[in-house]
Amino acid sequence: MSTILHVDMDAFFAAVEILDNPEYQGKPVIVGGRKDSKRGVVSTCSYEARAYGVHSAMPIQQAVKLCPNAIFIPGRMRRYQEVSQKIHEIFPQFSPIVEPLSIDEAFLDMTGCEHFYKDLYDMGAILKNRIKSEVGITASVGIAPNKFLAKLASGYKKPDGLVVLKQEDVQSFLAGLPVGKLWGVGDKSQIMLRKQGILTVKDLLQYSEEWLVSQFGNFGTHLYKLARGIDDRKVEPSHQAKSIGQEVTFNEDYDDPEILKTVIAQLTEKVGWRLRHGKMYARTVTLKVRYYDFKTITRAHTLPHAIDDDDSIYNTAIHLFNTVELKPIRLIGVTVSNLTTSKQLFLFETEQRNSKLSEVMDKVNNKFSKTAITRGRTILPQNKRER
Amino acid sequence: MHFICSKKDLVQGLHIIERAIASNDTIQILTGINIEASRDEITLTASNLELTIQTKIQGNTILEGNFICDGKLPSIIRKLPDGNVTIEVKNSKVHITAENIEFAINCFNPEEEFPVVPELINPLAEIASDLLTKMIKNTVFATVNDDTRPYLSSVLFEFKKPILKLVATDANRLSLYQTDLEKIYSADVDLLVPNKNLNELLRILPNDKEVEVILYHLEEQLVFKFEQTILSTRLVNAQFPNYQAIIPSEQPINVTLVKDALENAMERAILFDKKGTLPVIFKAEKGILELQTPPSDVEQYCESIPVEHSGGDGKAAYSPKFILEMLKASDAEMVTFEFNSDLRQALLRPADHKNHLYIIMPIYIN
Repeated sequence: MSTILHVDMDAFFAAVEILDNPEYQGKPVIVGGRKDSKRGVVSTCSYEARAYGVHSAMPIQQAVKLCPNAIFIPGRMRRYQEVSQKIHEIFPQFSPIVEPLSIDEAFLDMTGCEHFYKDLYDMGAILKNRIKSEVGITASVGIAPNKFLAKLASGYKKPDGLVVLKQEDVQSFLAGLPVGKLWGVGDKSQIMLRKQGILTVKDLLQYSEEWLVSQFGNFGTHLYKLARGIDDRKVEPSHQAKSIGQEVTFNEDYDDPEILKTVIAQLTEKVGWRLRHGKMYARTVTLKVRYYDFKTITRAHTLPHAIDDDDSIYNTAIHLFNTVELKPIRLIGVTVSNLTTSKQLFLFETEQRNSKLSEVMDKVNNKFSKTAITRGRTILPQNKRER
Repeated sequence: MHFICSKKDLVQGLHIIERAIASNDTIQILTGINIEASRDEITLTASNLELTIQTKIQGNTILEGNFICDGKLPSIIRKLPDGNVTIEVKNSKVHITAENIEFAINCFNPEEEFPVVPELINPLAEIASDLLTKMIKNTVFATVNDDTRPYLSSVLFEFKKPILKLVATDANRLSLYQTDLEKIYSADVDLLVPNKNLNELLRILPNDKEVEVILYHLEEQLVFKFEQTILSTRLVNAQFPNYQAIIPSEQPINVTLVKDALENAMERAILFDKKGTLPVIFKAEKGILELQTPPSDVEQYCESIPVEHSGGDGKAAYSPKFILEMLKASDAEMVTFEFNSDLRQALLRPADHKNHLYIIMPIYIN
């Protein structure tokens, strides 16, 4: 039996702003843009702002309407990263196996460390106190037998929460939850499930794995396991990323190869930029496709040489796309993996040319904006633009 | 058709030709072996159209004739006891008898056409078998199987009187072996030979300086004839890159050392190289060659070797696999490595002669 701890900072960006500006304490704080920002969206907001119905990803202008007296802040990423680093320096003192998930979140594999603490509550409380006393902001902690449950637990009593979920309590804890709480179940999946009358985890438990697979493809197996609190993923301490990927879920399903190839080109530019920005090279390109019926497939190709240019990623992804069945698609993703920090150079000029082009495009985009210069293939022909 | 021969001769003959037998070919007859019995010799031929091999063995023919035998023959003959083997075709079956053992296997309809080895006139060149072996061995390893760029899967044979050059590349490295060859009889010609077929040739070519190999250039084929054997390979129709342009001249850093020392070091360096992408950094400083894997908190290798060092100090990273493959093929005692710190091509070669040049590109570490 494993003991997995998930730690998640409470309204992190807003908390850092309150830490640095004590006069904001107790007031609604919204990070994401100034009050007059036309296109900004809420990145994080304090719990006081949430009381007005503001939430992340909401347009700033809508937040202004809901909570006109809030403090609006565009955000100071560098400062947040600085605080994040301080927090992440605490984790290795608790467990050698730490998987940082994002700027304000991490999994700690505490298996075998249990006897250092009175009980699991004590374990969580000590970690929370360390963060509070050393950094000055609060975190919510969940402790459970696996990653999925630990993350659910940390989110259960936010802010400043501490939830310990024991194996014997898992089933009753899960049963009452709406399906939307399950990992990977977003708005669209919820609609699909609701059509079948499945609203809660308890509803989901009525169905066999075969039936779920027949309805949702591989995603059905995923649902079947999660409803039973099963998650075999290990906590993976990654000094460096194992893969870099981008995916997009469409507002409507597409089967037009021209549109899909344009999307692949757009995803490729993002993946390529992140790859080069991380000073990495990749040998494997993977294409992920989720069809309208939730059947999800991945196709991968490993190249003889490490690459970092958009053309090589794009050509490989398109080669893979041409091998998959063309049915209405709801999600498409491009991932590169098998990452290295070094690249074998070529003897002949033609092989080098692609890399140079990407390098020059990056320079332009770094200087101006991320989309200052792009390939024609990332732009849809006029007659296919958003109707 | 009926003949008797020794098991030993037959096994040897079948060993020579068997790799040219087509596997699961759409042309079914090519999965068989063409056997022709004449007065005192038996001719065995196999062909998959890419590669045709023919050889002759001694035999006592009772009834002359020609038949195409099922490709299972070699595995059957190997399992027979030493001594004589009798082969006879009766009622469209091949009967194989040795002592009190008898096999009957299929034979193909002789009406069907089996590829013939063309008449060999006007030789292209003549070369000692041991030298040809050495030239192929020192180049073919630098190829890579690539369907879209067939020149990377072949070795270039460049006949330019009085020099024969063999050149191979996978686009990251290039191996060139040249020799003075008086016996070039034709006009200058460049031929691209598939790596696969050259590896088959290596398998059967005697490493013997007394054996002469005669080469013939037919329209789409290159033929090697030696002793009782003829091997004919398809040629690749592609443009080989302009390799002359990438042969480096003077290099700023120059080290010479015992080949075995470098080979053993590379065997150690490659231990972490599970994916074949981990570079080894070569650093020359004041007569010491320092080798090490890039700094890592997981695992590291480093080693220093005293060397003859001329030119400046500097460092660059290379694939240990590339270096090792060249060293394994070479029989040089000492090797010279000439390189630079500017991400340009390096040169590895035997210290005592310039017939063999191995050019490799470094690995860029971000």
